Amino acid sequence: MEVIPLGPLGRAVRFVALAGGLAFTLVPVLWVASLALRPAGAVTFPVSLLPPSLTLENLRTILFTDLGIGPRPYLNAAFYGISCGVITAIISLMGGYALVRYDLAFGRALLLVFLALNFLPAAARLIPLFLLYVQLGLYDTQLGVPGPRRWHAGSCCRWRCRGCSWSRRSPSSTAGTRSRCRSS
Amino acid sequence: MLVLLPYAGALLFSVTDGRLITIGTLPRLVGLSNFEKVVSSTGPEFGLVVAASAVFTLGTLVGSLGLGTLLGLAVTSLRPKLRGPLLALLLVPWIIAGVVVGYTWKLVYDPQIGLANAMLVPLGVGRVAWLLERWPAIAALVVANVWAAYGVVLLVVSSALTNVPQSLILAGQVDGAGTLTIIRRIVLPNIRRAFLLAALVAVVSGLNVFDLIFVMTGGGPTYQTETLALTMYRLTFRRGDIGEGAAVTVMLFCFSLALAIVYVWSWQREARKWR
Repeated sequence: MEVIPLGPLGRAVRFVALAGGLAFTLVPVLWVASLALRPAGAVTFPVSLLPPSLTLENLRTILFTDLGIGPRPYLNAAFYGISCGVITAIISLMGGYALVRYDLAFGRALLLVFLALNFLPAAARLIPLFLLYVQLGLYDTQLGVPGPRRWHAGSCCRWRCRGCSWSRRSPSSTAGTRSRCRSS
Repeated sequence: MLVLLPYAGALLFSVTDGRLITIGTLPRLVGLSNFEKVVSSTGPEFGLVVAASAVFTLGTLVGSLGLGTLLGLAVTSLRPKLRGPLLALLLVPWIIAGVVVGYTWKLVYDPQIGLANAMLVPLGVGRVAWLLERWPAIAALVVANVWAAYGVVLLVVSSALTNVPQSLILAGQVDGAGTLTIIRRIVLPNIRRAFLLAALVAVVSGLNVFDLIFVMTGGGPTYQTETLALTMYRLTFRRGDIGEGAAVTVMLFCFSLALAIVYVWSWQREARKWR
């Protein structure tokens, strides 16, 4: 069932909006993909959206020859992504649970600070983290890579974990807390 | 502690004369002079940076809120079977890393091989140097950032739209309301809270952007597209002045805190209305 019922004119406007939105969204991606898949020397102005012929030569050069980057960046991305996810999930779950489970006097203020921190550009953490990394000897090491991202994602995830824990908090658990029951 | 440590560090460094070349030594306290230097800076003027940040953020807010809401309304008025695949396609830019978005749009705006100029050829318009003048560059950056950021607005708005009570819309129809009246009088007031969140996310995505501008223009031409985040980076890592860079960080933090307070306050006010 449609949320908003539309007449013929409304359907036409919807079609135009969706077609325009899809074109705006997908054309830049498809165009870059078409640049990657066209032969070297076929990139001359005006560059068409569709390549004159398809080739995987550029991808082969990038991945499997000495001129390319090899698989290392992909391994780095996997290490970086997985470690960020795991560390952020563990710390944020603990922090979010504690904030919702215990009615801390400064809990709301702390959540507000977490929210504000989430609004800050990742670049704003660069200075102190850079100095901290230099002091700890983690600067320019693979081990130190997940850290800055974790700092960025942490506050946001803690806020969401708190919201999620709050919505899942059962009435009996709330009643227990109100009756001064201990978590153990 | 873990989260607040970097910010406490930034606050501390903002009142010192810390420099990158003397990183191992203890910096001296200099009070608020770093803030004074940043505000009275002439190369570029601080007002120019604030204006670029404001225009960029406002452009992102208007663009992503408008496009996200329009597409949200269009997608939710489709049959449920079509919604999922269409949403997945429309959310593609949102999942792409900022640096990749930057390089994609840098190619699009390239004066030699760019798609933007190629599209202007049939219209009889000559090649435009999109990223080499202040206002075309800011407009180009706004379009790129709207492309990257409208997905989250679309997601928030379309999920809120599915929760609008169908009975209200049917009642409006029975009373003879047209589609536009239903949208204006029933749908939009019902998604006001989600709209507030979407607006906030759009503001943040405008204010927060660093990687996209860094890749596309690097703040150039001659600081014309430099935002506060880029100023912080330039002062710290190019000029080596940690104190002044940290002062910009603290300013950004205060502004973000003010935004968070306004958001929570208006969210609570809205919540009270619904109780």
